[in-house]
Order: sequence, then structure tokens, then C-alpha cells
Amino acid sequence: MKEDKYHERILEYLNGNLTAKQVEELRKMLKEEGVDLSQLDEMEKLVNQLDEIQVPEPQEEMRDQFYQMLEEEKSRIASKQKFFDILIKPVRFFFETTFMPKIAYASLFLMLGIVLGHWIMPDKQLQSQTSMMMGEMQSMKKMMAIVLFEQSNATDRLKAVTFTSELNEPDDIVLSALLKALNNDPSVNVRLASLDALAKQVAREEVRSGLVKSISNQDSPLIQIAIAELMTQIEERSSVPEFRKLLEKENLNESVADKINESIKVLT
Amino acid sequence: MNSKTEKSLDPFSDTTIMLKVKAGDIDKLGLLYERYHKNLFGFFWRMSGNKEISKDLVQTVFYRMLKNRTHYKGKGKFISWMYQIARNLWIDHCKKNSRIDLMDDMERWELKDGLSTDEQIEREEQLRQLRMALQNLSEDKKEVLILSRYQGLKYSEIARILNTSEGAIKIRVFRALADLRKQYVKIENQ
Repeated sequence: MKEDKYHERILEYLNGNLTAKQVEELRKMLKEEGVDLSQLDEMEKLVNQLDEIQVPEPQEEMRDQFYQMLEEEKSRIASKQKFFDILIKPVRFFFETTFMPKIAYASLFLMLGIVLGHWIMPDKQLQSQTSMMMGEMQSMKKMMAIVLFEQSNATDRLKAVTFTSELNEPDDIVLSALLKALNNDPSVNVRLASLDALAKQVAREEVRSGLVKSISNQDSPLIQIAIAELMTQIEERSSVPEFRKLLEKENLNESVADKINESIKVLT
Repeated sequence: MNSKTEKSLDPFSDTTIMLKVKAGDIDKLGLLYERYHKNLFGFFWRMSGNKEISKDLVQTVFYRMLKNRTHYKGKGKFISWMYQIARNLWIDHCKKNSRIDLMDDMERWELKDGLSTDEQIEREEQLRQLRMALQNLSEDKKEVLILSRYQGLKYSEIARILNTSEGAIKIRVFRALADLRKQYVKIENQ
């Protein structure tokens, strides 16, 4: 097919992406190649006709069926989980509540002892090993933080936040866990602590952007005010649209609204 | 900030939502349903011309997403994964049902604008012929035409879904249009 050579240009033409001058040039070129231009016109007409066809609206019962399917799946998971919980509960309780944190603490203190020992009695031969140990301690703290973030107890999750604050350079996984805690943790204290920990990392763009995006997720006045203060402090102007969205929320606390308006004023 | 990190931090992206579904928060699938059920319905309706079949296939796409959520990796765009499921379902459906059956089931296509009665009759006849021409295309040509022109997908995204190159997709779309024209002219002259 002769037109195959010009297929990209013809597609652009049919998609309406060419200027009048470019269309003229294309038609001229195709004519010179001996292509029957009426075929191009017919193709364009067909494309336009196809565009005219209206897709019918899906029936409302489709949505009902979808949500019914979702409910059935939730019930299935819940009953499966219940059965699993009965079997695993004693083992899980032993490991998660008693065993794991203890092992983690013991390892941490052991490493701390070794590092302190080397610091008190420096030994040149062991200096490189000491720095390696320091690195391993950082990894251990990170691991502990991740484990503790998953615990059901708010105190453990607060400890997780504390560990992240002790990391020299928290990586993307840690920052993501902190943002997740800020957006989803049921405890206000954990959310506040996460915000404090994140506030130390505002030099990083992904943190600033994550904080801005989390504004509209927050429903606690304490957090809303704390974020407003932080955004003002770091002069994050991109937070203004998110604050405006928050202002549109019904039942917004009056003090929060005042604080947000104040922040918007400073930032604009 | 690199795009990978941005994606992982955006709580409202399709990928993040689907990863939440994978992690057990299956209520979040409702968000994806609200975002995409009309697009998927349009895809199946254009492929089959039948509302009932389209409705069932849309439900099956979301059922498969739910059942296979643990296999979701979060790599690439979510819609590529979604349309891969959709087209596999369509292929299965076609294997089980003959094309002739589908043609018999096809419903009356509607025009967007209000026209006078004569114009309406003429345009309906044109659309009937166009519908037949479209149904006479091979499934792969029809699919690529619908995905590119009516599902709002870029050529690069279709290439990912069909596991081929962007250049190959452009040629396929062009040939599908050329074939559609031939089929239409043939039907018009009958």
C-alpha cells in the first residue's frame, strides 16, 4: 500500500493534529505519489462518523452488582481471617508482642555496647569495623522502625517514629512509612510525631510534596494547625490550593480556619 | 523528585490505590470502579455492540482484579494492566461465542445530535453500514482502532498492552482505518 509510507502523517491528520498548511503539504505529497485523495477523504468521513456514535450509559444495576460483589469478597475474607486468627493467635501473640521487640531491643543494646566499648578504648585496627557497626546499627534501627510501625499498639508505633528520627539519612521506604502514618494512623499522637519527624526532612522535595498532599487528608484540628504552621515556616507556597480545599470542608474547626487563613495570607 | 518516588507518595494515583487493594483494603477498588467502569463499558460496547455483554464483561474485569489482586506488581500504568485483563476477557468471550451471534445481538447505535427525520434515516443507514464494516474487521484491527480512537490511550500505552512497539501500533491503526474504509465501500455498493 503506497499510503503506508505516510501512515504516521495521515494518522496525525485524522487526529486533527496538523495545521492547514501541513494538511495542504500532505495532500500535495500524496497526490504526487499517485495516491487517490478521495480515499483519504472517505477515511476522514468514517472517522468523523465513528466519533458521532454515542456510547450508552451503563445501567445503575451494574454499580449495585459491583458493590454487592465487593461486600461478598469482604465477608469471605473476614470469615477466612477469623478462622486463621483462631489458629495463629497464640503464636502471633508470643512473637509479635513479646518476642520480636525484645530481640530487637537486645540486638540494639548489644551493638550499642560494642560501639561504646570501641569508643572508650579506641583501637586503630578496629576503627573500620566500628564504622561498619555504626552502619549496621542504622540498618537495625530502620528495621525496628518498620517492624514497630506494623504493631497494633500506638506506643510501639510512637517508638517507630522515634527510631526514624535517629536515622542519619532516612531513605524513601522510611519516609513513605512516615507519610503513611501521617495520613492513615488512627492515633493522633502517632500522626503528630510523624509530622515532627517529617518536619526534619523538609529539605527533601518528596517530603514537602507528600506533606502538601496530606493536607486534605487530615481531619484532626491539631494536625491541621501543625501542618499550617509548618507550611508557613518553610514558606511552601504550593500548599495554598490544598489549604483552600480544606477551607471548603464542612464542620471545619474555627481556630483551624483562622490559622489556615493566616497561613494563606503569609504564603500568597 | 524522580517520578518513581512521586508515584509512590501520591495517595490518589491508580497504582497506589490498587496497591492498597492488594494489601487488603479492598473497599478502595470502589474508587477505581468509579474512575473506569464507563471507559471499560465503552470499550466492550464498541467491540460487541451489545449492552448486556458489555455489562457482564465490565463486572468480570473488576472481579478478576479483585481475585488476582495479589499478582498486581504496581509496575507500569494501572490502565495498561486493566486493559490487558479486558482484552483477554474479550478474546475468551469471542472464542466462546461466534461472530455471527454477536452481529445478531447488535443493538441500534444512537447518534449524538438531534437531526430531522429524513436526515436521521439517512444517517442511521450510514451508521448501520459502518457498524457492519466495523464488525467485519478482524478482532485485532477492531481492538486497536477502538483503543486508540475511543479509549483515549496513547500509542505507547497500547503498545505496552499488546506487548509490541509504538511504531507497530501506528501501522496497525492506519491499516485498520484503511480496511474499515474498504469494508464500508464494499457494503455501500452491495
